[in-house]
Amino acid sequence: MAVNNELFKGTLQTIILNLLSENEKMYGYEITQKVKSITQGELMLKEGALYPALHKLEAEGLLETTTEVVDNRVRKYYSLSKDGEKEVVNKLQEAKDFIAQLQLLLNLKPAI
Amino acid sequence: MILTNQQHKEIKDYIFDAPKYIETYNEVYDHMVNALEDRDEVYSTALLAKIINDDFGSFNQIKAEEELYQKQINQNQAKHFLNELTDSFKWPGLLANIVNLMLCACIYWSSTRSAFNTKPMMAAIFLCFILVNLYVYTKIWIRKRKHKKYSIFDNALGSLSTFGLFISVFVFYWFISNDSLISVNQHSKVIILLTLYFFCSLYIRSFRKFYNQKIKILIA
Repeated sequence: MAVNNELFKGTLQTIILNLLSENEKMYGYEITQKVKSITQGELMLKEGALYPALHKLEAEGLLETTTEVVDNRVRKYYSLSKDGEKEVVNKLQEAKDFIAQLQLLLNLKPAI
Repeated sequence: MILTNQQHKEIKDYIFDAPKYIETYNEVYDHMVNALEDRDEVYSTALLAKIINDDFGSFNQIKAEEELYQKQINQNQAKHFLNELTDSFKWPGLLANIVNLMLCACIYWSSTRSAFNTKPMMAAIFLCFILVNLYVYTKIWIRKRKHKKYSIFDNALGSLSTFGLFISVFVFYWFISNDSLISVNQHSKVIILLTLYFFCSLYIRSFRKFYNQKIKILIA
């Protein structure tokens, strides 16, 4: 069963930051494909939501960008800035706390 | 799917008018090519439209998102520039400020003993700001000719370079010119001019640093 995308909108920034902490640099399309492969297609990260989130993180100084010419086209890579490296720890902790509270509220048992 | 050169050209033409800035255009184009290469479908213009609608919403949504991105960039660049301005009061930039302040003090001291002609200094300040603007706008024009689109950083860059010139023109017409809107005595004129000179030096040094460290790398 596919997951309702509305449910993970609030954690989009955390997902992006975490993916970039695990990968040195990534481009937009690569991020969508990575999310798709990790979740086995259950979560479809729409580019209409991804790029605004990436641009916001970039403007906030949490991401840095570089460009490379790949197959005759300019590709924009995103990577964590120094501030982003610090922020990813906070964001992950926030997400963990939120999930724990959600489990309590909804009487859910953690998946084993 | 493996795309031919003709198909690459068609994709470029198809999306060309949608994004205003070269950075967005490059990102959308790269995305379109990646999405098409990952599909096992027959290439068609309808497929291009489908990718745009499915992935980005529509061309209008790309434009709306780009506008928001541009505003964020403007705020971010203004913040970086302000940081450069305040950083110039830290070592080693502080040294240049101290030297400039001492120079201002010397000029002021000499102006109390003999008549001081404000015109050469005012002209030099204008020239400095005009040269910065000339450089920035020439760069913007060259980039626009090369890529046929503006960079998303051009707006912030143009505004920041013009702001210095605007301030100097404002100060000149309000306080320093012979027909100034607010009449001030020669003594005060010299102090205002020296303050403007100090600001000009600070502004141009910070702008140069900001341009080399932030803009040059981002637009390269």
